[in-house]
Amino acid sequence: MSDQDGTLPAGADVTFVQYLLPPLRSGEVTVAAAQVVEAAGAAQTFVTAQRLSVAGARYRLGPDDVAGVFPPPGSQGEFADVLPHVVLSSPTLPWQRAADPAAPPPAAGDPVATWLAVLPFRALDPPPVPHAVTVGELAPSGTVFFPPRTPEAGEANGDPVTVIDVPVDLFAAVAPTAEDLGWLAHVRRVDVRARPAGDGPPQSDFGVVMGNRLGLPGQATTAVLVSLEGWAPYLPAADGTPSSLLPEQAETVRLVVLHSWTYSAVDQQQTFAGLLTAVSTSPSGVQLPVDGPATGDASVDALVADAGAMGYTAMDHGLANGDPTVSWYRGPLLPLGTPRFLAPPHTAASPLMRYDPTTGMFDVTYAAAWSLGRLMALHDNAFATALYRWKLTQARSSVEALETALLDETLGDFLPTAPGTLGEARRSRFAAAAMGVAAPAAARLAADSAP
Amino acid sequence: MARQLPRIDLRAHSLRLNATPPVAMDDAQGSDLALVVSWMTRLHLLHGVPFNYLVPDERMLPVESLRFFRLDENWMDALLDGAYSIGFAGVAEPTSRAARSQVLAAARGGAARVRPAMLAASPRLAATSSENVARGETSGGGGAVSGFLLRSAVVAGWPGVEVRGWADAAGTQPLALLRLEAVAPSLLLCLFDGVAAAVELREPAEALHFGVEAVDGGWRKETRYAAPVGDRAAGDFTGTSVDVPLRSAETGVVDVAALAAALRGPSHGGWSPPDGAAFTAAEFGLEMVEGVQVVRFQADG
Repeated sequence: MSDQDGTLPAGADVTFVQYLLPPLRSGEVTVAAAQVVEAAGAAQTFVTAQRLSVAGARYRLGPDDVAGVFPPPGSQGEFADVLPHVVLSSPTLPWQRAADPAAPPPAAGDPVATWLAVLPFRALDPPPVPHAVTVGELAPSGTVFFPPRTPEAGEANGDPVTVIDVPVDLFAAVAPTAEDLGWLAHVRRVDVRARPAGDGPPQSDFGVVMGNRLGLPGQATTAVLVSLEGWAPYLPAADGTPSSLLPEQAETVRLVVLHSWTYSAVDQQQTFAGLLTAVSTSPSGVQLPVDGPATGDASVDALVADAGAMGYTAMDHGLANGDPTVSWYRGPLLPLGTPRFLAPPHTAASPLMRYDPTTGMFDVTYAAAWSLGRLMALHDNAFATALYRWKLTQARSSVEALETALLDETLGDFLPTAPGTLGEARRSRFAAAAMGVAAPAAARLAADSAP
Repeated sequence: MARQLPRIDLRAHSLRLNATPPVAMDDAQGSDLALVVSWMTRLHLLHGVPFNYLVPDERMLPVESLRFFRLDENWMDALLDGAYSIGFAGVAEPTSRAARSQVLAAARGGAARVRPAMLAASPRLAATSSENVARGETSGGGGAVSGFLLRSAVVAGWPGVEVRGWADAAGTQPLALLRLEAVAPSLLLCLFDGVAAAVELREPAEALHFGVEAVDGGWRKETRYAAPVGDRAAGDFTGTSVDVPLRSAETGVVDVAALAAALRGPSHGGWSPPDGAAFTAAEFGLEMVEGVQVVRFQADG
């Protein structure tokens, strides 16, 4: 009945790219220029320097910067074996800043550390509570550690920033190592041919940052996208020992939160394929299962089974005269195909009642459908009005067309010109005279034809 | 010149009135006719039809079940006829009959355009409709409509579930979707233009995610070819797997650098990247991707 596989989606053209480095990292940049001027045997060097500030996301992300997360926020599922990830609209964002600003430029093919990290916290850790501080408060104080930072242009000390304070032990246990950071971000390039294009070319590249920790079944996991700008020296070793560079008195480390969401890992049975392979597909159609008690009469049992297989249900039915009875009904969702045999229009539901002589029961299927359609039409005021107005327009135009034809035929002999080419003045005079005859006649026609 | 006007023969003219063709249909946007046709088109796709008319008995669609159906055209005819029956304007029957069949035909024809139009209006989804065209989807059965009802936790849990249908069991003739909608939190209604023989439900593409596999209390990762090897494409499973090194089993923190080294190394069962092929964060990402789950159903009969 069903099968499953677990391959990459066919036709989903996805390319993984190691990194897309921005031409300039965000932050302060100094452009230096030197020119040596030689004239008359003497050389003079002119030097100038210009400081630039490359703006870029630092302590908060815009609403459109996060293109998606997985697992979905608030979702439950078999996520215990999942490493959560964040998809970023800007493909270069993971490399716009540096976890280790002092690191030399990477050689081709070498891992390039990202400054973003997804830290999944389990419910029992417990997850640190995000709270708001200001940019000016992003500094070590007391038992809270924050790495040295350089203020940038456009920043005000009063700007709000969301942070979490993570105990040092927990940070050492869950934070990626400096080496890990080179593996946890990449660019996902999707096939643009199947993508819509609006004002500009469609976006093909997305930055992806992966978490490094599995969830636990039965527990909520809070995944937090944090900035690790300047954190490289303070990250734990591969065995989870805290960095020796963390000051002695530090009890918690303060991390800037860029995005966070929560999901729950549940029982392993709750997978997409697990749920779907377990759904009942028997009987395969929308029909009543034949599980009632046998009546003892084989022909009756067969009849009930047949009716069920054709999608019929026996329903209580109040006849027009008030007598209660039981009639057959089936919806439009049949377990089998049926030819189209109904010949509308009908002016009432009653002609659509069908009598089954073998059982002595009515089949109210199509009568019920007809009544339902009528009720739905009446219920929708806008539709009912529009339909009536349109029908009226149709009726008027038909009568008017006939009227004109009658006038042309009847009065054509009076006119020097051929029928249908009456001069406008004469035509309206004749029309006014003839209207007294034709309009009542037309009205009678309509009345005659009405059923 | 005295001349007698001919008597008007009402009977004859009644026949003529009946034969009058309906006036040209003004179906401009916003006109009465456009409103009527679009309302009937929606009715054709079962919009607004009370659910107990569709499934009169709950036992027909138990919890966690999937039921295929063929849409009864007679039922739809009766439904639309009933809806059209209101607002009788007293005109000769055959004239209104011609107009009626034009309206109903327009409503029927419009049913196939509702979903593409809706997708085209949504820039993010426009790809799907153009993809439908590219996939050569056709109306499979001369106006026949089929579909399925899925009542399952899947509907609520995977809101973006993707559905594809085919007119043959082998899956070579794709069918266009007329309607695909979660009509209730755990109930998915799907209508195909044609008679579906096979239906595939697929995890949404955004579920392309990273993960590992639980094996015997530990974690392993099936490896993929990170680069084409022989006749195997990049992304194909190699059939082997590596242990996922954890910093500590208790916290479930993956030692990423060590895992990357394990995936890169020749130690994992017979394949190593071709000479000169780099193993970077990109290849690591590819290795870590979990497959999107797909379940296919075949309609009986």
